[in-house]
Amino acid sequence: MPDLKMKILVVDDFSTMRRIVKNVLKQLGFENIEEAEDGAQALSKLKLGGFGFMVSDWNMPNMDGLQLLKAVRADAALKDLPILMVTAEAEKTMVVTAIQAGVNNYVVKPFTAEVFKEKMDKIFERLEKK
Amino acid sequence: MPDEMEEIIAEFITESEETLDRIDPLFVELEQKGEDKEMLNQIFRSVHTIKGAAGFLGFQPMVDVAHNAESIMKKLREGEIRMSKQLMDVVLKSVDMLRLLLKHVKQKDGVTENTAPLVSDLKTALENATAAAGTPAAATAAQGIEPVKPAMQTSELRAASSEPASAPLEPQAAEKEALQTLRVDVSKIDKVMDLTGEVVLVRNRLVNIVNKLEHQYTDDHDVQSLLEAVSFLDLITSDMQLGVMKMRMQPIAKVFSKFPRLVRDISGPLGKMVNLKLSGEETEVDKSVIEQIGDPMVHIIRNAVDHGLETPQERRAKGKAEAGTISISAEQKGNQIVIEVSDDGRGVNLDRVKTKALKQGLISEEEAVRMTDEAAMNLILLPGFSTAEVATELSGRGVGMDVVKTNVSKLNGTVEITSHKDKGSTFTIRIPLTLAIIQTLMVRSGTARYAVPLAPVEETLMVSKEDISEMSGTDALVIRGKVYPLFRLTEILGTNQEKTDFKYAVVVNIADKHFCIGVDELLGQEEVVIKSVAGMNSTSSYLLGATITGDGRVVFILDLSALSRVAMGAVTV
Repeated sequence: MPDLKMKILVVDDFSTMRRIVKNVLKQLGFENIEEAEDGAQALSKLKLGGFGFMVSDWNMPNMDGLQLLKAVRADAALKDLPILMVTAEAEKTMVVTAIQAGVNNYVVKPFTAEVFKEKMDKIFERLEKK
Repeated sequence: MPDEMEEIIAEFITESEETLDRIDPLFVELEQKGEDKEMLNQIFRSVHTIKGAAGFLGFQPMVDVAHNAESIMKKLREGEIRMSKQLMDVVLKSVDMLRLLLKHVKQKDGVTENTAPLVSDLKTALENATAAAGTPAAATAAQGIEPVKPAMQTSELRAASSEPASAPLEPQAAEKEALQTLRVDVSKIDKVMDLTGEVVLVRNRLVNIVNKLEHQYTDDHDVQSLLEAVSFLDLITSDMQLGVMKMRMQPIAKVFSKFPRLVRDISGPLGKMVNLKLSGEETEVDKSVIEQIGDPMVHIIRNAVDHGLETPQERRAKGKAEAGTISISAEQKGNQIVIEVSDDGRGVNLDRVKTKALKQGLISEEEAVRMTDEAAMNLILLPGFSTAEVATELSGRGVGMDVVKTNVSKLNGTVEITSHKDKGSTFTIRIPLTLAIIQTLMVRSGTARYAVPLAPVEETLMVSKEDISEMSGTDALVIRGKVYPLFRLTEILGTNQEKTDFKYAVVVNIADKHFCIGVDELLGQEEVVIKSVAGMNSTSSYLLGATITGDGRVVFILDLSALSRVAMGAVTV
């Protein structure tokens, strides 16, 4: 289980969704959470440093989830950032694209805190094994 | 956690409603323009987003409706099916259903809607559209994201992943804009506005006191310094007032965005072709205006489409373009917001208006003859008036126009109609920019002082007994050849029924009705903050509220619209 003090970035253009994800994270014990409305905003925040994890939606204006993912992976300082993608059932086809682009895991909405925790744990387990 | 949930749900409702409001005008544009990938995508994402959050919150009916609408939008976006009126209609129905479902959640009324028929309609519409499109997806594979099986060819994968994603990258400017807005509870802003109002009152007091001190202690150094400081405070307070007022202001686009859809929905059944032109949507108005101006404008627009515009055949016969044009504009002119709704239809038939008003007993024969064209035009705004022989489904019940007048009056505004035969009509709504602070004329009547809103005041006159004439039982003043009914303020307010002498007449013009108010003394102009009086029923009193003047006393602010109704009511018996 990752450090509970870790700074996490939640990215979604719908503030209700950000709130819901934030709520789930808080249920799991994380308190250090920041938000971004789209990929561009997220990237600016990430570049300021200190983030240990990112949860991002896929469909957003300005810069969507996939573009954000690629931009992060292409940045020397950010390339190893663990990223969890939030997706809808119908978007599962995008999952392969996302994995190819370097996403660590995905979770389908609506999800419960338990499911989210499993997905998160999986990411950090794999990272530790490296 | 339950409180948290309540907040999350409240936020979900607000955000979803805003999202739906944003896409409403897009539908109409889409229908006219045909396919537009960006718009389709925006609609898709909006419905998709609402579905996602609704799923989390357990609103299954919403999820069902949104999901099926989303499927249609997805295929439209990818060019797999074509747009058609039926498709548009069913998607619009689902947007309406989502709004309805959101409303039920908001009102916690426990009402459930049967979404099954709509869902089935959505599915059928999609099937039909897909069948009509012929071979699905093959030709559009390059554009769309195809359903993919796990063991995929790498070449296809590469094609899919290199496809530009949903929206084009927008420049830095847009990103910076997103960072600079803040969601603030309206109650917090209102509290600051209230406090600012109090500061304005205190400032007025200080200015008043300092001016007196200046007279008494002209050479005192400290008094001079005090004067300077208060002058500075005066300026800053004005700026602060303006600043806070601006916080509550939003672009009127919020109201205008509903009109394209409105016009579309009305014109169809009436067989009218309408071209809608909007301008000045970026004009900012106070939140209360946004909340209250919508209804009156809807009535005016309905009236324009129903009565104002002729049918395409009639128009062709007159040599006009088949489609009528309705232009709606908003502009800030000095201290007011001016909103205009114009149509190029048949214009107001003044003779019919007068005849109807006569028949309904709203005016006398004599008045009908003497009345000016402008005054006749405004008969339309009287309660109970309507010229439609048969009340059409939309208007003609004589309810619409007086709602316009009432709502606009509530905002301390005025509405005017101008019209030309066969050229069209224009409704002009004028609303003051600030609602809580107004310029007034201070007057004394008897022992009491009152604040008269300055905007409707046309002039003030010194009056002697000889100037007052009597016409059909009421006093009147003849000013430059025109006759104005005259009322003593004490009389209208009911504080003193005696016909006492008075010195000054304040000539007032409310929605084209002129009359004079007799008072004992004119005490100068003052900018006041309107404060409501606890326990006062604002709809049945003659007061807009009260204020504390510069010398610390409480003075009532008169509601001239209400007074005019009483005064003029006394005249037209």
